[in-house]
Amino acid sequence: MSTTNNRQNAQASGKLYQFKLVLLGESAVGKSSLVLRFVKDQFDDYRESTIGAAFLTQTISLDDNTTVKFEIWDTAGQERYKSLAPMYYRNANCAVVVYDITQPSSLDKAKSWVKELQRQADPNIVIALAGNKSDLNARRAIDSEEAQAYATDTGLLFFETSAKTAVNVNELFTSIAKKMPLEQLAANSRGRGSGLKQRGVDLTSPTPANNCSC
Amino acid sequence: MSNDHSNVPVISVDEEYSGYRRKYGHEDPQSVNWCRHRKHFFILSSAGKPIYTRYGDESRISGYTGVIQAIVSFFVDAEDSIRCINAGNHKFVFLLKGPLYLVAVSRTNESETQLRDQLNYLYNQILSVLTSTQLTRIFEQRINYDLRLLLGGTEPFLDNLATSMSDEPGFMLGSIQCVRMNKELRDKIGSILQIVKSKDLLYAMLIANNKLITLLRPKRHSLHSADLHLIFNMVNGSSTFRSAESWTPICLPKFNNKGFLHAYVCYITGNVCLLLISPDKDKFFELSDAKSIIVEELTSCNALQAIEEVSQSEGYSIADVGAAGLRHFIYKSRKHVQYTSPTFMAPYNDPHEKQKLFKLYRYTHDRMHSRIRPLKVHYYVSPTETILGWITSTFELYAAFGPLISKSALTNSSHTLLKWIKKEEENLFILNSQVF
Ligand SMILES: Nc1nc2c(ncn2[C@@H]2O[C@H](COP(=O)(O)OP(=O)(O)OP(=O)(O)O)[C@@H](O)[C@H]2O)c(=O)[nH]1
Ligand SMILES: [Mg+2]
Repeated sequence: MSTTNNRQNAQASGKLYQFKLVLLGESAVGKSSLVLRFVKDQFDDYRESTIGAAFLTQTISLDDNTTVKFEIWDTAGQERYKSLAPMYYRNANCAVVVYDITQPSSLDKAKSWVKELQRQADPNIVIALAGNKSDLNARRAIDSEEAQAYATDTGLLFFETSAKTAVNVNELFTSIAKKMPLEQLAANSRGRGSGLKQRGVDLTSPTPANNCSC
Repeated sequence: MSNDHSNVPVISVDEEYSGYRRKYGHEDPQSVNWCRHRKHFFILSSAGKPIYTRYGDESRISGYTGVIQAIVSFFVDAEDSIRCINAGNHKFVFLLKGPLYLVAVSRTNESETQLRDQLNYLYNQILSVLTSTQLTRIFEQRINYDLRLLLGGTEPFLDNLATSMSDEPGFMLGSIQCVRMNKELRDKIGSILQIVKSKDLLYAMLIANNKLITLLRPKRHSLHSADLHLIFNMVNGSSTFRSAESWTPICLPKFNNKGFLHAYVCYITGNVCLLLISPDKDKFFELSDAKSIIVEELTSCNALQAIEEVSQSEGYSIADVGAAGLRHFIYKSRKHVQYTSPTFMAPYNDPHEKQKLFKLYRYTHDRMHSRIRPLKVHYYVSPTETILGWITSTFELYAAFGPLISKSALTNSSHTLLKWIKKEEENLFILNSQVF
């Protein structure tokens, strides 16, 4: 697959950065569907609700010199998992807060997640707001302009996405990667925090060329 | 489903697009079809608020739950507690668990005890997502709390459990089934699990087809079959575990109903699921690394492929046993709390015939475990089968023969079966679980 090739090319001459990304939002807005579209290019009309949280990774290349690996926590939106969320966003470098453009209540929920992140998460966290299910435009309940205005005011990236048709899914993750303060993170993020720590090797530091990970 | 949708409310957008679809979810609780189901389960709060119904939409059964609540409190007021009502061919069985009332309404032939056992499994399923501590606290704070808010997403597990309890003898027998597997292979897998034992790990297990392949556990903590059923039900009840590594709190009530453990769940082949259970909620990456080691080790000795192949073909047919006249059986090893049973071949591959056979097994099981007069041996001759029930200190056997079989042929055949099981024992059962 092209992603893999890109990675190898990039690794041969460039740097690999690793970011922890967390997805938050009301149940059934399509968090898992967005991740599975991004990671496996799959979509399932009958996807079941996430139990606890799911962990996935995906690597993308930004340019010939820069490769970004996302370590993704896809959290469960059901109410009873609410108290677990801090464990997943505590060490996150970036977050995607998702709502469903056909469900007005889901934007309110998204806004409360954004508030919580701004209060409790890393102050440098990059947050993107995703209005998902844009393919259901006929049933739209939330104006793009309204959400865009909120995102601009709050300093969030904003996309309307469709996990179903794949519209704007890669764009969402790529712009997050581009907005990350790469060099600064490479220096800062070593040995931080408690809770769910990242894997043994700290890949946030630039990887020397030809460092085979096998 | 009937064509009459006139009084069905417009399906909410939310429901239409949420992933899980219930087979009978839109049935009207006033309709004939709804009433016709053979076994209903209801869960309500002690304030009479509906929490779960096996059929239809629980928000529309508050009329019934109100009545149930009234009946229960009538007895409570008299310092009594209601257990069972027999009405015609229907049984109403009650299980009162503090803030929760669970009720089975059944016209199956299941006994009061069997139905109450099933209600206990449903109750444990609720505990497994909430813990008894949380459950008690919520209702202490607000007696009128709508528990559905906290149980969102649990419906598939309750539904799956309700179906399994009618389909799988393990619930009735209080035991689980193992994947039939060459002992050397099972031991090899067990010794590989031993490599990752650590203080972060409480239990490690591999499961396939709702059966256990192997289990690693601390010496002082065996794993109760009721807790294993919950674990199987969780893995089996949701397809989401197939798409990623998952990390979820789970309460195993027999282990400790007051607190959560944390389960790492990951399919390592198409059929085979690895579960690593930790007391610590922060150990995901440690367990994920343990998984990588397990997969690497299993691959390097070609065991991974072997397990997957076995999991696809582990069942056996009654013909393999070679016992004349024997059509089907369930054998439970009492010492190992495991049972074995051949696959359902003709005529029992027909769901209707299978249900009929189960009915006979259930009846025999109930007769033998009768509290007033338990039996060691029991024959039951129906128009289609003769069922032998036989309980000793080491096993419990339920065997189905043709209706006309003679007692001597039946005895001979049963001994052939027992000999076969003895010979196959180490492949059918986990005789020594891996401990540390
Ligand atoms: N039409 C449409 N349906 C979608 C889209 N994304 C997700 N869905 C559907 O919405 C339902 C819920 O999607 P999930 O991805 O499970 O939602 P979630 O946010 O992960 O939900 P939780 O795990 O419960 O928090 C599923 O039936 C999906 O098929 C989309 O872009 N368009
Ligand atoms: Mg999800």
